Amino acid sequence: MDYARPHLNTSDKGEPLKMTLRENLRTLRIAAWLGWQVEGNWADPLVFFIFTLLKPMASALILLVMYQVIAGGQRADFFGYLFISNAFFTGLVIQLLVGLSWTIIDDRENYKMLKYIFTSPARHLSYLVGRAAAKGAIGMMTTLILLGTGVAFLGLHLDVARVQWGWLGVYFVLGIIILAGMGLILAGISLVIARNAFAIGQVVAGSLLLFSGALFPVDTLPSMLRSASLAMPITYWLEGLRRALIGGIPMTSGTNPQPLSPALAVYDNWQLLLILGVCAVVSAVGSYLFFNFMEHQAKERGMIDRLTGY
Amino acid sequence: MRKSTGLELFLRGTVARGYPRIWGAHRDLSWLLFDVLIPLVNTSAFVFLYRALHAPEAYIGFVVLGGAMSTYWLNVLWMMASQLYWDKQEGFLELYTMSPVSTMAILLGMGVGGLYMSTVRAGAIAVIGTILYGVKFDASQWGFALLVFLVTMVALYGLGMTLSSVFLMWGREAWQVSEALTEPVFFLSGMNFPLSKLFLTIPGVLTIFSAIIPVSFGLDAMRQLLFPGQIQGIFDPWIELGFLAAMGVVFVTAAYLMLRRMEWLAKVEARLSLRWQ
Amino acid sequence: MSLDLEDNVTAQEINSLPASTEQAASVDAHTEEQTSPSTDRPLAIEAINVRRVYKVRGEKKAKDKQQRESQKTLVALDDVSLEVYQGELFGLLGPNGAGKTTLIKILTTLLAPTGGVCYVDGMDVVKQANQVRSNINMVSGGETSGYGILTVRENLWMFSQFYGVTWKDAHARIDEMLKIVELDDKANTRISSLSTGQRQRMNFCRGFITDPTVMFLDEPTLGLDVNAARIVRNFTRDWLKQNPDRTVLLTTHYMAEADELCDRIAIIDHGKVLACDTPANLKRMLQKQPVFEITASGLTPRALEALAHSPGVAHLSADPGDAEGAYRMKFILEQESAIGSVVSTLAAHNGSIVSLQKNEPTLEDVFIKLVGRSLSASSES
Repeated sequence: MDYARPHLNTSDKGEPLKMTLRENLRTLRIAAWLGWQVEGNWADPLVFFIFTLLKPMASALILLVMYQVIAGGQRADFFGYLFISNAFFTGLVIQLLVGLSWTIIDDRENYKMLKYIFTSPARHLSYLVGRAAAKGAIGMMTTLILLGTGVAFLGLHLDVARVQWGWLGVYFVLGIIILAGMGLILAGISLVIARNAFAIGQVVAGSLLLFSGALFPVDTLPSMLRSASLAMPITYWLEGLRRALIGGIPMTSGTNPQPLSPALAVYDNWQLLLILGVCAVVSAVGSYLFFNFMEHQAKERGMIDRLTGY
Repeated sequence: MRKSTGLELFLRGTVARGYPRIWGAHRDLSWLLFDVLIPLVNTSAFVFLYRALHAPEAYIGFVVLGGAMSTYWLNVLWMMASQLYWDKQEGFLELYTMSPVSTMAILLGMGVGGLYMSTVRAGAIAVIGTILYGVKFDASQWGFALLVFLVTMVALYGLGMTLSSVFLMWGREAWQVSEALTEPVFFLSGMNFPLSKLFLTIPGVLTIFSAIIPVSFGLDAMRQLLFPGQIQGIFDPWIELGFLAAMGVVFVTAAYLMLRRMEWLAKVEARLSLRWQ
Repeated sequence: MSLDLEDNVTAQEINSLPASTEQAASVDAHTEEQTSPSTDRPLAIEAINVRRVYKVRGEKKAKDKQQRESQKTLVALDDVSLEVYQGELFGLLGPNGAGKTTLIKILTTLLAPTGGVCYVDGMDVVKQANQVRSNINMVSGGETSGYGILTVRENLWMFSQFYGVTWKDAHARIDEMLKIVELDDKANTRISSLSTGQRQRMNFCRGFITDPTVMFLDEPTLGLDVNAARIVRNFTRDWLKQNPDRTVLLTTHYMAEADELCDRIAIIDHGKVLACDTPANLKRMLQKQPVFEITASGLTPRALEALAHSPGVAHLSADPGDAEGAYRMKFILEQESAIGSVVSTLAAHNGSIVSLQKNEPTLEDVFIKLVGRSLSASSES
């Protein structure tokens, strides 16, 4: 019986050609579709929507009550600071950092498909970026809904006329690149450690929650921890987003307004842009090299298809 | 070959299922690092938030205690309620169901094992948090606080067993529900703030949901005992202890009934071996 | 009696023989020729009119309303009745999707039947599920589940406890079983370090450590290498020999395995039992009369004529061989003993036998006849 041979891009010598940009994009597209199916096709859209929002809404409400309990609604400046950065943090940081390392664990230990992906010609990084894209889309949706809910129901003051859209767009894109790079680094680490590796994303996300000024100005931290905070790109990213949405450096309310975070107020937008630009390049290149290295390590240790649960 | 039945079989099943949790945990200590570090950094973030808001120092203690207790909720949700879902994926659920041991024994074994791991975590968080942030507890009623804690655990793990019966029917929805329940329960149980303040903020129907989460009254009572005079509780600790004891009885009974019912439904709808859908 | 120099009679073509040969046909679950020696023993497994209907989820909806209706449900078992006697090694043969695993799941209390009733060891699998569970165990082929962080011994011990086996008995049985499956050197190795085949052997042990009275083996040799598969088959057979009050229900894709091991076999397809009998009787369904192939040389047409008319020869077909006087002959005899007269006649006409072999239809032939396609073709479809 003759089987039709699949059409392959081959050279005249019959050897497979290198993957082109188009092939990478195809892998990315298919992985994004897969990611969306994994995340979303377990329920109808309404149920999925509700479930996706429950966790971030609850975490926003926790912060709201903490704020209300202590400040009694008197520190609107602080509330805005807190709410905006939490919306981006909960929506995007968690999804991309935790989500990418979880993808490795899920595919390896639960679906047991990682070995098939890694033995296929698909570019592995494109696959992971594609899976991350689905999570990023969900994260973005979460962020927008949180901000909208904050404005509509929870007393968040945002003046659309004062939003600096250009800066918002630039900061957003650079932040996504940085987060995706960090996620890929964590995914690489997840390749070589046991099932508990999913926690590594949570550890990093938790650390960022503490150090990045997501919940409180970094000036609140003791000086040593503050130095660590100022070494993190996410700190500057969140500051940039806050400025872009508020329309300037976040200031205290009252007759003598002061920067809410003096440590960050010393940087203007262009300096923030420079810091984030460099971090984005380092993150992109570094994560690429690191992931390839860790993939090689995983193959050496036989971890691509290893099951480690108990 | 002699085979145990009845209570002896139940106890064998409990010990056997708890064994991987306890001894397995000792073989891969990475969980200790992650499972202490994660709640510790999260707790620390809330500590500094309170400090930024210039909250009274007692609130730091509330957050540290809440952070310690949060490990138990996470354990009940992820290592018990949704554990049968994981076991289904791995093929263990069929083996458990086919064996003569009761599913409650399996769950109790998981619970005991999980309780051990959570207690190590919670203890580490409470100790480290207390030292790092200078929390001052009043230890004069530590016995009563311990009793409240133990009864809270019975009620909480009973709730976990009840939830696990529901998860028997589900596929990926189980994982999603666990994800969805994590933070709302933190919110409704007052992990980071006094329950009395929460009840002033949320609508009445949500206070009922809050009240049926064992951690809510458990935390409230423990905070009243360990930080006397610095917190206004919902009820007197003895009354809250009574509620918790009643919840324990209700949840354990509900777990028994629902496990039987859900196992039957799962057999009728062929969900015991439905994987990754 | 006829001499047919052109025909090449195969097992399938026997169906078109003259009326003296009975036509093979679909039969009821119980044939008339039950020669199993186990019928005087109590029933270990009994399924009576069992039906299982699944609701189908996630299918893309068909445009046609009738097709949509039929898409909503799947009949996995359709009025299945079976009896398995104590001491039997009973085989369940069928293609993928035939209903074998569904039936096993019902018998092992994992699935409730939609209709009908099943008994294991005289107990209703639905109403007396707990009691049934104490007496059974199941091993599924290809099963590699196990807690990676535990050792082989610890995994097996854990599952033995779910059956109430004492620690002393459990460890003794574990040692015994691991030695049988040649995993004794891996007793203290973590599951995560085992190969797939080793995990499967470990899971095979898990089933027998609890000493069940009824054992369900769902394709137990799937994915095992030749040696491991042989160990599993030999052990299963020996276990039954040493424990005549035990019963095994085995599902398999491997015809040779079913033929070798099973006392009786039920062939199931599309949720229905098409036949149930001993392997020999099933093959006899296709071929009541013995068939012998003889290659001989030095034969004349007269010799062929004489052979065709030998006592007990119902039919002879002969193909000329390469050399003068050489023939490949196929004899259909009325009884097996007639081969003696054939050989005598051959010798009397100065023929020399080059080879002689008895042809029996295989279970594959029976399967094809009943199901309409081979097992491999069924799997592909």
